[in-house]
Amino acid sequence: MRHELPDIVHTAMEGFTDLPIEPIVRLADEVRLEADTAEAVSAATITVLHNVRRHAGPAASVILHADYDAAEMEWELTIRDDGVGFEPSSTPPGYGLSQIAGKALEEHHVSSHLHSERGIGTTVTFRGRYPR
Amino acid sequence: MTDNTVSPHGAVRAAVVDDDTVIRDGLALLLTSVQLAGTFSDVEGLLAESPPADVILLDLHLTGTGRVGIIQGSAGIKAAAAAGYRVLVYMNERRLHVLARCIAIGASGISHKAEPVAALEDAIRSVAQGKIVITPALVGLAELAARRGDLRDLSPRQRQVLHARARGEHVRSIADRLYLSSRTVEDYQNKINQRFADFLQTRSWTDLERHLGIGPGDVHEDAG
Repeated sequence: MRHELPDIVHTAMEGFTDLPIEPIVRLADEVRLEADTAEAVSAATITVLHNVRRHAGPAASVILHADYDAAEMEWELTIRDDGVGFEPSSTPPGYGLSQIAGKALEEHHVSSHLHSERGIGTTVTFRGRYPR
Repeated sequence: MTDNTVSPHGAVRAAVVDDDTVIRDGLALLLTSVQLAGTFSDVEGLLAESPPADVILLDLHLTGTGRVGIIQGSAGIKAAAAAGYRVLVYMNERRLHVLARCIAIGASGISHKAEPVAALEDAIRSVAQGKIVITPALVGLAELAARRGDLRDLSPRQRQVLHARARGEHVRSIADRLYLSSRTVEDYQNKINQRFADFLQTRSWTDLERHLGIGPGDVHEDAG
């Protein structure tokens, strides 16, 4: 069974009604992931949102943006908060993906990238192949 | 039509129309860089007094206290705009079709009540300067419209900025990445917002539903 990426995003958000999350996912309407890949992406998204809740600060808003590049046959999920951010050299303990979530993404050929800047916020990007 | 948007002394003046007493009284205390030009519980009160104001902060729902038969929703936006005011819709409504409809019928901007006061004051100042202020959800809709082949006259740079803003990238970060000044990125952003507002105002609701996959509205009934 396949799962639509926008649905995965909306389901992952459900436990974070305390965060001002803005889902922008319509560009990825066509993307459907295998069940185990969907589970890995969902778990990783939830991990990131937990990190936002713990580290980003109370005023942070969060944008969950999903996209699909048909030419590259690649989907992308961006999770960006405009919270306090941090220096890359001093990543707070526990920030980023847990080993379990990161390993699960790798096993399903989903890449992850973390970028943060103090005073600007933090961005986590997941990318994976989706050949239609 | 009278022109209520000219501020002779440079100070930005905003009037508030909201049926919630806490919002009216709270903003009177919280707005520090914006001059409060008056608070009203309904549009009728605003129009009757017609205070000089650069921006009207307008809630869409004005019947929370059980009142009936008053102007609200689309009619409120249209009435305030027809009186010469720039309207910044101030609400918690987040449904995309409602947000799009606000801009389509003449609102100059939207600000969510959940946002920090500083963000609200920024939005008020921008609207006072004649800019269009849209929420992240509408920036996402603008990106969707551009990807569907609308907004064709956007320049490549403007598309890059739209792509980045839809993902929430900070203006400063975009400027650094594209080797532009923050001012230039903001200029691009303002042009994109204006272009998107023009697009919303010239397309039928059916077109928007078909092209962008957004559903019909139900909060814009012209009460009264």
